[in-house]
Amino acid sequence: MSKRFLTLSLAALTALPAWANCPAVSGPDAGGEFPHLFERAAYEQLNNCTLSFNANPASAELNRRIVGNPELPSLEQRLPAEPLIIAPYERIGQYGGVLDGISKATESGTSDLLSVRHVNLVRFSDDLSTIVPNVAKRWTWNDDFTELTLNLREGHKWSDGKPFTAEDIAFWYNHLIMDKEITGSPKDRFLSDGKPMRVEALSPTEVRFTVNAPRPGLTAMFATDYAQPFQPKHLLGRFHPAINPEADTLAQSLGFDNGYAALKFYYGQSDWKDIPTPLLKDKEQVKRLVAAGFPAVAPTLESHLVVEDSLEGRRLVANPYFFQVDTAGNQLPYINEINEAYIGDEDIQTAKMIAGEVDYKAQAVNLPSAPVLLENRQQGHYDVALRPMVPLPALAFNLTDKDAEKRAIFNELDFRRAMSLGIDREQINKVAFFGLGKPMQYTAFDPDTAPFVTEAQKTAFIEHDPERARALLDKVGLKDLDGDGWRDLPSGKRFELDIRYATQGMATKVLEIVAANWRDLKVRTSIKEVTSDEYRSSQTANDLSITAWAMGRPQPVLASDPSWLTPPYGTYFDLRTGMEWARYLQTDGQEGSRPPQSVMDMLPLAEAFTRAELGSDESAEVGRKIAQLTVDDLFIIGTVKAVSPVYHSKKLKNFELPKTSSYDYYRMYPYLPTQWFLEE
Amino acid sequence: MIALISRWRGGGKAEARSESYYTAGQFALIRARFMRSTTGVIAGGMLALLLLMGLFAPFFSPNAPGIEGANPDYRRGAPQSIRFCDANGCSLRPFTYRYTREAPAFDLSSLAGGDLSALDAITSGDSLNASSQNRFVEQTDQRRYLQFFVSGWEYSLLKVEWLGIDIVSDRHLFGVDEGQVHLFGTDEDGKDVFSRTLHAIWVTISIALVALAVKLFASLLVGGISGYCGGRVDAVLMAITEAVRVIPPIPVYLACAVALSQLDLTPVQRYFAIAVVIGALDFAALGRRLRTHILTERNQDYVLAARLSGASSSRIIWRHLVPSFSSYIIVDTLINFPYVILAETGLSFLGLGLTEPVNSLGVLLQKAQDPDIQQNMVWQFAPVGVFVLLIMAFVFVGDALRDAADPYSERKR
Amino acid sequence: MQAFLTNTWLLWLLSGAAAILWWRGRSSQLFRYIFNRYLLALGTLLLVSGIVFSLMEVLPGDCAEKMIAYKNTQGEVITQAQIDAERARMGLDQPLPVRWASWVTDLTLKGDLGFSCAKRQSVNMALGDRFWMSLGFCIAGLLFAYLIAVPFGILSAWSLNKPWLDRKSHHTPLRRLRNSIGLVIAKLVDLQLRLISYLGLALPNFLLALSIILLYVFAGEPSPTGLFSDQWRGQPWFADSGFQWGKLNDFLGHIWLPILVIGWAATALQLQTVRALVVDESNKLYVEAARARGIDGFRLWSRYPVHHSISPLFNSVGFDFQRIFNDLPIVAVVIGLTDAAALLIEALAMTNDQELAAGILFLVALVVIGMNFITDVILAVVDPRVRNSVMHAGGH
Repeated sequence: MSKRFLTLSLAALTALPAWANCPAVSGPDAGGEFPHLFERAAYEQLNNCTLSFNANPASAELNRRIVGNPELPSLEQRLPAEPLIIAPYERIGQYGGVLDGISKATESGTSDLLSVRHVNLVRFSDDLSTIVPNVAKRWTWNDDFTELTLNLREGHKWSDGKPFTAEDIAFWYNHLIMDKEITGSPKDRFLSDGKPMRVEALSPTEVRFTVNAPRPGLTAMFATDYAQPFQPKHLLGRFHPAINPEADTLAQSLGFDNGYAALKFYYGQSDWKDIPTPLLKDKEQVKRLVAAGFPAVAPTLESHLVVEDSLEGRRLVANPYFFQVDTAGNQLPYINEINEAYIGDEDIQTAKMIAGEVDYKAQAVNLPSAPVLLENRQQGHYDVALRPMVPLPALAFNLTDKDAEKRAIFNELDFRRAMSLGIDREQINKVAFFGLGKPMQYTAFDPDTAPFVTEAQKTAFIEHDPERARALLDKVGLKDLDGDGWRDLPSGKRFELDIRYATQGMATKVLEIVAANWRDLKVRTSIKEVTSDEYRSSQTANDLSITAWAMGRPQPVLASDPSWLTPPYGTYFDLRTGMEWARYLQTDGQEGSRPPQSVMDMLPLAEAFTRAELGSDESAEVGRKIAQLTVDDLFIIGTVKAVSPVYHSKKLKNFELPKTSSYDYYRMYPYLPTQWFLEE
Repeated sequence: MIALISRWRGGGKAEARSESYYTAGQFALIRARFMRSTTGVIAGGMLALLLLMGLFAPFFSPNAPGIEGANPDYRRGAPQSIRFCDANGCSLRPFTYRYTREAPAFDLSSLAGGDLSALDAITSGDSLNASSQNRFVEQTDQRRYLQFFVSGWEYSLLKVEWLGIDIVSDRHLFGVDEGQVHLFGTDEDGKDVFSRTLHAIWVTISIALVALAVKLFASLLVGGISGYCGGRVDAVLMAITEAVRVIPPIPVYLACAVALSQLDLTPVQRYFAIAVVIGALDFAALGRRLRTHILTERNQDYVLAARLSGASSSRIIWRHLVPSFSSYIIVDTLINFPYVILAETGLSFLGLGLTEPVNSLGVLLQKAQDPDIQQNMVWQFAPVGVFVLLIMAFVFVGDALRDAADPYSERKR
Repeated sequence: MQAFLTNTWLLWLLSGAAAILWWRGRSSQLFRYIFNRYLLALGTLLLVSGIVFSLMEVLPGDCAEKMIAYKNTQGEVITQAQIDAERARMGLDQPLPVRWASWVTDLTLKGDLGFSCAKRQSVNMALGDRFWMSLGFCIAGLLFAYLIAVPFGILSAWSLNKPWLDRKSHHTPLRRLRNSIGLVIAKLVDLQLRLISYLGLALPNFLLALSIILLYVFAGEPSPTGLFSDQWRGQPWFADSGFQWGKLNDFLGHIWLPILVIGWAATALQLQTVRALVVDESNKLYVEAARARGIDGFRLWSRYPVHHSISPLFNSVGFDFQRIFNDLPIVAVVIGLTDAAALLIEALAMTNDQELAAGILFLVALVVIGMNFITDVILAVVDPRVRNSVMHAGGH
C-alpha cells in the first residue's frame, strides 16, 4: 500500500514558492537511518545539499488564535537547530484545511484524535517493532539496561516559543509525578521495581533515567504511552511551591487558593491530553490569567493545540513551533486545524461518517457498521478498510468470587476447560464477525505480532465439543440434582451464571451466543447489559462472577508493564479477575487470599520478560513460557479475534493504513499523522 | 363507506334505545355509545387483535425470538413473500421458497502470515456492502409449503411458578415444511423480526399494566384519604401532590432507574420495578380528580344514608364513592396507556430500561435507529409500525371511550 | 455592605415583593388573593426543593465517592479514611435535613444552586445560559403545539357527534347537499388531523429525530444536528459589519428540528385537551340556553364554549411546559444539543451528579410554579368568573 519507492515530487515543488535545495524525497526507503526519518545533518550530507525551510503561510494567523502567544519570530527561530525531517508517505503535501473528527465527550472516545497530534520522546515505526526518534534525537542504554540517556534537540521550543529542555522532563517526573499533592500515587509504569526512578537533567539537551532493575522496555513504554513525559516548567514551575517560593502568593494574586490550584488549573489531574482546558473550566479565570501575561492553555510540544474548548467540541490549531519538517523543508503539520466535535450517540456518529463529514475515525467504529459504511462510500467520498484488532473478546470466571462454593467451582481447571469447549466460536465468527475473525484462545499476547506463540497454544481448547464439556462438568460435580434439567452446585444449591457486560467491552451477540451455548451444557446462564461505568466499578469491587472484556496486549506493552500478567490481569478499564489475589500480592500477604502456585510461577516470568530485550531469543523463550502457562491455567478464556473498520476520507492524503486497529500503539501515532494533508 | 357503516349502526341502535336506554346501567350506556363511534370500534378491534397476538405470541410466532431461533443462513434477509402461484403453476397451499445467499467467499488464510491484502480485497470489492449482504436468491424450483398447527420449538403457554403450573406446548399456528419462514424478514443475527415483534408486544403491555395498576392504587389511596378526611390531612396531601406535579417525571424515573440498577435484579425484574415507580409517581392528576369528586359527593344524600346505616368510612369510600367514579377511572387509565408505554421506550433509549437481547418494543424501536436499518433493512421498521398502531389504537379507543363516558353527550342530537 | 447585599440579594427581592403585595392587599381583595397565591407558590417551591433533594439521595454515591472513583480510574489506590476525610470536607457527613437546610438557605439568599462535583464547578456556572436555551426550546415547542392544537381541537370537538350527512327535513335539498359536503369534509379533516397529531405521539421522539437526520444524510445534505454549523459556531452574533444575519439563518436552520419533534409530540395531548374542554363546555346548560335563544352555528361556538374553554387551557400552561420539558432531554441527546436538558441526562444517567441534577429539576419546577402563579393572577384580573370565585374564597 505504501509506495515502496523513492519519488521526486516535482508537482509539490512547483506548488511551493521557495525552491528547496535538497531533493524532496518521499516514501519509507528514502534512505534515512530509520524509515521515513532523517536528522538534518545526515540528510544534508546524504544529498549534498543545504535544506532551507518554509513555513505555513497561515501560521501568523493561526498563532493569533492561541491566546497569550506573542507574535511569531521567523521560522528559523521557531524550528530547532536539528529538526526531525520526515519523508512523507506519498508526496510533499500542501498546507491548509481543517481535519474533522468526532469523539464522544471531553474525556471519552478521544484517543483517536489525541493520537493524531501526539508526540513522545520516541515512537514505534509503522512496522510496530522498531523504536525510532521523535522528540528525543537519540538515546543510549548502559550495558545492563539500567541507565537510559536521551538526547534532545538543540533549540526545540514549546508552542509559546519558550525553550524546551531536559529540565522540563525532570520537572515532569520529580515535581508532578512524584508530588503527592498532584498525582497521589504514581502509576506502576512510571516506577521501577515499585520504587521511583531517578530522572536528572545532565545538560539542557541531555536527560538520564536511572532504573532500579534492568528495564529495556522503558523506551517501548514511552513509544506507546499516552502521557507526555515533559511539562512546561517555565509556566507550571512558577506555581509549584517547591520551585518558586512565591508560588502561593503569585497564585493568590491571580484569584487561586494556592499555587497547586493554579498548577492543576493548567495541568489537570491526569496525564491525558484530553482533560478540560482552562478555556472550558472557567472563562473568567482565563481572562485574569491572560491579562497578567499568562497563556490560556498550557503550551505543548504536540502538533496542534487547543484554542477553543466547549461542551460541543474542541478546536485546535497547528503548533507554530512544531519541530518536524518534510524533506522539502516545509514545517509540519500541513493541516491548519483540527475540529473535534462531540457526539455521544453512536447512530449519529455513523450518520456523520456516512455523510462524509468526518475525515478519519477508527476508535469505536464497530464491525457491524461496516456494511452500511461500505455501502455509502462512493456518495460520502470516503474509504473503509478492515484491520485486525489486537485484543480479543475474552471471558473470565471470578477466581476470588465472594460466594465460596462458586469460587471453588471456578477454581477447578476442568470447569474452565469445559466452559471453553462449550463455546461455539465458529458460530460467533459467522454471526458477529461476518466470518472475518479467527477463533483463538487467550495467550496473554497478541499472537499476530508475537511470532513465538505456537499454533497449539492459540488453538488450545477452542474446538466446540459439548460432549466433552458435559463430561468435564459432571466430573467437577456440577450435576442436575433436583431434576429440573439444569445443573446444580454440588451442595444442591442453584447454579446460575449471571453475565453482566458493557457493549463497549463485548458485543451483545457474542455473549448471547456464549450464553445459549452454555445453556446447551445445561448451565443456567443469563446476560445483562450495564453501562461501562457500572461494569467497571462492580468488576473492581469484586462483585461480578464473570467478567467480559477484550483482552490481549502486544509485546512492547507486556515488556514495559508486567502487571498485565499477574492478578488482576488488567487495569480498571480492562478485564479483571482474582481481585483478592491481587490484594494479597499488593499487600505482601497482609490482606486478600493467597493465589495458587501457578500465579506465583508467573511472577518471575513476567519480571523476566521486562528484563529481556524485545525480539531476542531470550525474550521469545520467556514469552512462549508465559503463553503456555496462561493457556494451562485458562484463567481467561478467549473467543474470536476480530477485525475492525478504519474510516478515512478520500480527501486525506499521505494517509497510511494502520496495521492494526487498536489503541495499543496509540492508534495513529506510528503512522505519522503530522504529514497528513487535505486535498479537495 | 364509513358513513354507510355508521348510519347502519346508528339506525340499528336507535330502536333498541327506546326501552332499554333508561334502565341500562352506566357501563351498558358507555358501551352502547362507544359502539357508535366508527373510529373507536375500528381502533378497538385493532387493539384486541394486537393484544391477542401479543398474549399468545409463542403460538403465533413461527420461530423462537432469541438467538436459538435465529436462522444462520438467512441473516439480514428481507421479508419472504407468501404465494399461491408462480411460473410453475398454482397451489392451494400457500408456499414460499428456499433462499440461498450468493456466498461471498472470504479467503482469509493469508491473514495468518500478517498479510493484510486479503482484508483489503474484501473492502475494495463490494461483498461486504450492506446491499450484497442482504442479497438472497429465491430458489423458485424449491418450494416450501406453509403448514398450519405445526410442532416446533417448545414454549410455556401458561406458567404460574408458585402454583407449579407450567403448560408446555410446541404447537405453532404456522411454519414451513422445512427450514424457517420469515414474514417480516430477519435482523443481522438472523432473528425473525415477526416473532420478536409479537413477543415484544406483551412485554411492553404487561409493563404498562403494572404501572397503571400501581398508579390506580396510589391515586385511590391519596385521593380517597384526602377527599374523605378533608381538613388538614387534605391540605398536606394536596400540597405534596401539587409539588410532585410540577417536577418533570422522566428525570425522576431516570434517577430511580439508576438507583435500581444498584440492586441485584434480573433485567426483567428491574424493569418491573421501574414500572412500579412510574405508576407510583403518577398519582397527582387522577388523585386530585378523585379527591374533588369525593369532596363533592360525600355530602350527597346516599352517602349520608350509608353513614346513618352504620357503614364504616372505608366501606363508604370503596363501595360507594369510588364506584360512582369508575367510568372516569377506566377512561383515564386507557388514555394514559400510551404515555406509560412511551415512558418505557424513553428509558430503553437511554439504556436504563430493557436492553438487548430482551424483546420489548422499546428495545426494538431503539434498534431501528441504526442507519444501516434505516437505509438497508427497512423491514426492521416493522416493530415501529406495530408500535404506532398500538399507540394509535389506544388513543382512538381512549378518545371514543371518553366521548362515550361523557354523560351529556347524548343531549346534543 | 456590598458583600452583604450580593450575598443576600434574592432574599430582599423575595421579601420586598411579598411586602408590596401585602401592603396593597390590605385594601384590595385582588391583591390579597395575589399575596396568598404568592405565599402558596413559595411554599410549594420549598416542598419541591425538599422532594428533589431527597430524590437525589437515591442516586448511588456522593461527591466524595465520585472524586475517589475518579482517582481510582487514574490508577490511584484510595483508602476509606481518605473518602471520609473528603466527605467531611464537603459537609456530606451531615444528616440530610441539615444539608437540605443549608442548600435552601444558600438558594434563597443569593440564588446559589450548589456545587457540581462531576463538573468541579458551581452549578450556576456549569449551567450558564443553558437553562435559557432549554426554556426557549420548550416555549417554541409549546407555541407550535398550541398553534395546531387549539384551532383543530375546536374543529374536532365541533365535528364530534355531528352526522356525516345533513338530513334535516326543513332544509332544502340543495342546502342539505351543501351541508353534507361540508360535514364530510370537516369530519375527514378532523380524522386526518387527529391521525397526524397522534402520530406525533406514537412515533418516539428519538426515532423521529434520528430518522429526519438520516433523511438528510442519505439525500447528501448537511444534517441539522447541534445548534450551529461549524462555519458559524465560533462567530459572534454582532460582528464589525453589524448583526450577523447569516448566523441567525443558520441557527433557525438547526433549531426547527428539536422544536418540531417536541412540539409534534406535545400536539396530541393538547389536541385531546382542547377537544375535551370544548366538548365539556358545549354540553353545558348555558349553551343549550343560548341555542334556545336562536344563536346557532359558528357564532354560538365562538361565543360560548370556545371562549370559556380558553381559561382552563391558559391555566394549564405551566404544566404543559413541564410536560414538554420532559421530552426535551432525549431529543437533546439525539440531536446533540448541549442545553440544560442534556446536562440533566448526563448528570442523572452518566455522572450521578446529584447537585447539578437537583439544580436543573428545581429550576424547571420553579418555571412551572412561576407560570402557574402568573396565569392564575392574569386570569383573576381578566376573567370575571374566576375573579368572583377567588374573591369569594378569599373573603372567608
